[in-house]
Amino acid sequence: MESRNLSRRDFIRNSAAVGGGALLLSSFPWLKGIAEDKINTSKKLLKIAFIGVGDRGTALLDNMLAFSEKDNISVVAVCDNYEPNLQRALAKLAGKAKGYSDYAEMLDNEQLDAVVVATPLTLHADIVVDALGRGLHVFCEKAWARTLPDAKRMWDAYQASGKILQIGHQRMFDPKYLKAYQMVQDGAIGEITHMHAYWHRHGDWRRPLPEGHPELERQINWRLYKDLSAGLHTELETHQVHVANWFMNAEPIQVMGAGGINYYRNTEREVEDNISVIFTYPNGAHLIYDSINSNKHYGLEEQFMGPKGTLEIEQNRIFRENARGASSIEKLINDIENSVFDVVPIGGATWIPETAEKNRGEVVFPRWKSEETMLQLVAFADFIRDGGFPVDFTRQAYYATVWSLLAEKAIEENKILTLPEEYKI
Amino acid sequence: MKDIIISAKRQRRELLMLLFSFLVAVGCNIYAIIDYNGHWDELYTEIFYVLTLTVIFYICSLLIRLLAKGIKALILKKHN
Repeated sequence: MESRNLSRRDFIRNSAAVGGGALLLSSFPWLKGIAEDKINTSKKLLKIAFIGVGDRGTALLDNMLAFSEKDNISVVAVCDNYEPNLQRALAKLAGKAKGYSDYAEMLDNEQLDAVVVATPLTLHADIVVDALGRGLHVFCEKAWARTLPDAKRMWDAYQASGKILQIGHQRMFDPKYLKAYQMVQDGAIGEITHMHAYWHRHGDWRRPLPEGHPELERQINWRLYKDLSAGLHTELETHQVHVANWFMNAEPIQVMGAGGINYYRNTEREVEDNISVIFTYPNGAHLIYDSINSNKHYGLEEQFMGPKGTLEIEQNRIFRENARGASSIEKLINDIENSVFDVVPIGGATWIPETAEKNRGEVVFPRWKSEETMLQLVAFADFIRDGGFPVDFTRQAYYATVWSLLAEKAIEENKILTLPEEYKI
Repeated sequence: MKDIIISAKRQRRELLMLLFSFLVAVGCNIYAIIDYNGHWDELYTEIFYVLTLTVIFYICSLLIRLLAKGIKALILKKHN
């Protein structure tokens, strides 16, 4: 795991290389903290605890430990109600942190500045509301909450607390996304007229249970049960709806969809293994979204299309609509080659399909590296110390979850849904 | 191993042949730009193709001249 110092130097170097360093920093002033190339251990000590140290919680813990020492952050406690997870986290912390299985007990006993919440989805609301109420800053993994009422409850608690509530939409801290966002604002693709996002995986999320403990099924495989998870909507869709809302500077006005289980039939699974959703935005653009658990060929992508070009951000590329095609000498060589080696045509084509252009596009952010998980935690610590947390982050995160939950509802009810008045903020 | 001496005259001839190959390649590029309505900046943006064609033309000319020399030598040998 690279140190924070290296990440910062890389970030500065990469930003400067694309000539967008200064511009990026001026567009996103909160990046300045990340980009400053000095580690200051005289910074105020931050005491942080982790609630939920399963797979994602462990990844967050690892990322934080990569820079915590140099950044004067102390992980003083970890909490998990599943003993193997707790022991694994305590082993990483090598006796420097206390372990708890009850988060409320931990919050009662420890003097903390902030908590990182990475529990199963249904537990987010109670823990976040409690922590904010106790005057703590909170970093909470996406999605925001399992239900719309819980989401609103968290928002209200956040508003009342005056503290930071940062949700784990790490693409907000990814340089290629920031650069792509700036390109859209600068008109590089023109107005966004169409979006397509997808996330295709091959796997049923089922984790093996410890031998002789069937009672742990819902605790370990919570993603598969409707009362505990919205499946593809909250695990994957929220990330990409968040990006779409961010780039559009707007939320959807309606949603419709279809989905179900067409592969993992006859298994103990309640959530869909395929969803296809259409979000409509105020300017008439649509986000066409699909996510499946039965095929990973296409992976994931967010495609933004406008009259001047197309952004494919996961691929880190922009494709200009009027990109220069093959050069004249290339065409000449190609034609000579075809006339020598081609078969003799018997009849001509009556229709030539408009297949995708063979345009390799341009890189959005050269020498990009995947460090956004760490950068979001770096930023969280900086926001706590220095302020400057962009309030819009939390609002966008709220709506990303709300619209993903509405998409689930739209599929269940087979209706076109709009945002209920009580969930507007 | 014998020393191979390439005379100044020979060197001049080969350089001229290389130059000629380069001019032919540039000519092909100009022809392509006109015929396919390309941009004139392709005169320098496609220099890699021009240089590659130069090398190909030069090697072809080398092979043709070697072949011609070989055939000529065979004919002369036959007459002698």
